[in-house]
Amino acid sequence: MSFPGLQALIRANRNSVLSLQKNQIFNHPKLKVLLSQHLSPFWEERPNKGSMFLLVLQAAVIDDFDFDRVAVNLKGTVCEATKKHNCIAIDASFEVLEESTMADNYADLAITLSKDSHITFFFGTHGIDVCIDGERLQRVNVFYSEEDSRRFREKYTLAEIEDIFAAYQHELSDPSNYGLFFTDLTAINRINPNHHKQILRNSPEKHFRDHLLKYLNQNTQHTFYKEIELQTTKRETDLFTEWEGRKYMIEIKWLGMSIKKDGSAFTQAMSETAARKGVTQSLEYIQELVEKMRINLKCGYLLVFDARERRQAIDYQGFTFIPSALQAYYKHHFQLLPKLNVVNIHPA
Amino acid sequence: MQSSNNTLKKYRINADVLCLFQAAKSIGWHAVRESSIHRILYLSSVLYAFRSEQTDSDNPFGIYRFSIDKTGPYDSDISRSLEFLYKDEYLERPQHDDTYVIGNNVQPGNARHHSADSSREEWIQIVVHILGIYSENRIYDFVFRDPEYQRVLKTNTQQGLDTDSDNQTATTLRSFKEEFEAALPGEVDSFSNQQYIELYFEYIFSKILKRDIV
Repeated sequence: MSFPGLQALIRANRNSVLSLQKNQIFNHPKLKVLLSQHLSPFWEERPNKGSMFLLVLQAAVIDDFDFDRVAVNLKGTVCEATKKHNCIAIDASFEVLEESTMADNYADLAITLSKDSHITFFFGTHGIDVCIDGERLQRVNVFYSEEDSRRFREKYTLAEIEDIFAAYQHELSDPSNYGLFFTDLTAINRINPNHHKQILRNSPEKHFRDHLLKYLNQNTQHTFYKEIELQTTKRETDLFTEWEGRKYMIEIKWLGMSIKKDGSAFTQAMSETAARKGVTQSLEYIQELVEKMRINLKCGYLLVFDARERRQAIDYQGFTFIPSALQAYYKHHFQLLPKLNVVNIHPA
Repeated sequence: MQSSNNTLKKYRINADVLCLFQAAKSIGWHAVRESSIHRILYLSSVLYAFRSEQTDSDNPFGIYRFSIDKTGPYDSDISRSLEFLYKDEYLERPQHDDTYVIGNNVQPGNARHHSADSSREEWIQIVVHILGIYSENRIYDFVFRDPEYQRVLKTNTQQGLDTDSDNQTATTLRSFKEEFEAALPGEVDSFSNQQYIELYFEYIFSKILKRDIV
């Protein structure tokens, strides 16, 4: 693995790198857990970040953090205290020791109150500033900022799966995207000079899969990967991800016509029969994953790329073709996504 | 002799699992998924070579043999340990799924009783605390981006994950450390390898946030 740009980044943040690493108090793992898992989420969920306040605690209590009590009290008594006052002293369980209202010169206040081995957390408009033992930390992270975290949180999750693919459909309408799936006119003319239509590249499912994989990884909070990387059944058109300990699968099918690998002819047209078969195949695989491989699969999705010349709705015949043995999987662990229409017009 | 070695191995794995749960509990992380247990012990194994810069023969985590299955890094001995600990109520499954919590039979000294090496206990705690900064739900992302894990994935074979001193992850961490030494010559001499591991995880997390995929 190489690290392009890392040295420049380190040099640009030299002071933060050196001060953070030398600060024994900040480097206590429990303090970092407190910040990332409790204080940052608390700051994020506050609607009015202009309502600022300080938390003050002794550095010596870090080892004694009772995170169960911290979670309860932060959302309870501490939250209540912030409604009345802007300076709150707390203990290792975030029990409120003292609360007061002070002049809102937070910058100086945060430093002053952190002296003599104390820590202050200033909840401001742009994030949480940390002062330790009379010194304000320029940054709490070297490699990412609160802005990076905010941008990440704005990305889709699987809870918004319809929105994900509505946005992807919009992407597909761009010629720089849909043009990637079709073979060049020279190859078509070699087969049939009178064929004035678009033809998909050979193995279009792989191109659709790779394009979708890149889109999902860039635009959602999840890390997707190709099934083939699991070295097992060589199913090459599935994407997987994991979210909160549960697996999710996307099976890809396509409709239209492609070119053979040797470029000598067109393949047989894939009609809506392929889409119906895709439903059954997806369910069979979901069954295999759950029953034989004991995978904790939450949902498998079927996604059809429709690159037919004349697109129309796919007739799934009321899903009456699904065998009874697969009905439970259809009901509980399967979702058919709206088909994606691939523009079948040459970009030129 | 082999029988006593196997018994010692089982005790060590049981102790590692219990240490993992104790470390997680200390940061308010009470329930741990089975897949996370495999992943945490894998990361503990693959990172140890860099942290300690020890030779193969001294790798205390060499008792594990991880391969990749559909859930990620997997060692059947860990699954057997979980079954044992669950059966004897050292662990419980309150939701009857793949998530475990510490059981009634665990007393503070239980893990230490079986662990002949406090340094492995300490190391597992360090790894759990580092991962705890980012939450259990991010462990999958870290493992997916682990250099040794990626190396084996790309071979498309059934070979196991290498946790010896020259594994791909340790090699990558050495390169990462060299970047710091080159960027700030003479100023990072006091940084420990543990600090570099923490910085590395933060660096990888920044890649996750910025959607810089493998």
